[in-house]
Amino acid sequence: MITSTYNSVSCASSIILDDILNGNVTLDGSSFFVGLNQFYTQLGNLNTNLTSINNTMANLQPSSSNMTSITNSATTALTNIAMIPNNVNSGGNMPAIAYSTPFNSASPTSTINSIFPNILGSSTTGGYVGGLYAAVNSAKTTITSISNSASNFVSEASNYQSGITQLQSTLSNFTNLIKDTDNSFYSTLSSGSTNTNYVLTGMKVLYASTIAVASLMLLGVLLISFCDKINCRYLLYFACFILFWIGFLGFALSILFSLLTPTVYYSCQFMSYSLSSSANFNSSFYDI
Amino acid sequence: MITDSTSRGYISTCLPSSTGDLATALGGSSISAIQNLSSALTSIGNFNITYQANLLLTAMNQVTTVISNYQSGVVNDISDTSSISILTKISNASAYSRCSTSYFATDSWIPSVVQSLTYVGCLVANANNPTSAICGGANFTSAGGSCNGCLDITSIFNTGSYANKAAVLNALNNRYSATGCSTFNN
Repeated sequence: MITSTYNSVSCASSIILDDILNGNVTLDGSSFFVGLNQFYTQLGNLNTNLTSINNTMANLQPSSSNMTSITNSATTALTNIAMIPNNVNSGGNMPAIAYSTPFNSASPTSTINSIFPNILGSSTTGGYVGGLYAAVNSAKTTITSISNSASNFVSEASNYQSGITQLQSTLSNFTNLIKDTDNSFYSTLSSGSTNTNYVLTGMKVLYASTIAVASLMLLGVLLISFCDKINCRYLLYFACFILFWIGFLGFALSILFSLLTPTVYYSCQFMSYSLSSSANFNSSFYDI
Repeated sequence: MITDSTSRGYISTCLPSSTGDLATALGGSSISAIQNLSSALTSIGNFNITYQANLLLTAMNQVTTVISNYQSGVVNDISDTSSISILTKISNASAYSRCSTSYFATDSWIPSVVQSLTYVGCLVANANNPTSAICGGANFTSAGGSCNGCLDITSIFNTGSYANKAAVLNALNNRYSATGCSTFNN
């Protein structure tokens, strides 16, 4: 039982630490942890690619020739659209066409206005021209926004890279801590496993010795009682001496295990409670 | 026991009732920087140049189409019912019974042969629906080249040949030369 318990503890601790280092998925498959090693590697890739990304972003800055050209074209387009109704920038609707009426009269007496100007609209009054103006203006605003974002990115790129480097350093330290813990667990459990074999062997030797000495003692009693071999009393003395110390050893072991059993039990209880939530973990491991 | 508060904080992140966000616990502000980077790239990636171009193209086509439609009489530019009635009368040859010139009875003058919605309908069955090209040059005067039937006023007279009222009157007087047609021509 001692050996199987040790094996279970070793296996569980190895899986936990390996998951932290190399990742795993939850039982229901809904979440996964990428693992510190992979996380570290991917951050390195990101850091490398940031230079390339930064160069691309530089082309999207307002100061780049391409973006300047686009922005100027958009501004020119907006100006021209605003002039559609009456060739005046932001001059409102075009003047209404006045149709002379009656249409079939050689001498018209009145006029009616065209409905077209209101439908055509302008950059300031809506209509079709207003819609076109708004669409171009929206596109220009979006492009300007992206351009400004790119500019901000370029200015922050060095901070990104230093931040990633710093994160990699932290990750490396934490990964080493986990690896050290893993090695410590391995070494402790290996040592425990080896000593367990010694303990088991010792117990077997103790049991065998007890049986052998008891058998010798029984043989001595038989020889004295039925064969008058009085000198066999020394055998009884020897057996009594040995059994005394075996009994003493058993007594000492019972005291030792009486102390170990509750200690191990309450330690397990403490571990179980501490690992049941982050709050318990912090408070328990902090207080001790 | 783990006495290092930093390491303890990392581990406690993965325990029940915590966020499980070990990356943020490890990275702190660095993770925020990476998330900002991701956000910026996502924003740029979402910019669909084809979609934006289609929006602009659609808006521009709408403007050019509406201008073209009003220019060519496809849509009605007036709402005055009495004036529309006069246009309707012009389309009806029988309203000018004194005009006995050939072709007049089989012609129907309308603002446009492609009206949407129809506000002055063509009254001639099986019309040829001539355009300015068909009725250009001498065809209009002689009614040759299939220049008869539904006559598109805007299309026919919107050419360099009819730059003023006198040119229009002259052409009409030549096509409909009978004396009784002067009322219509004028």
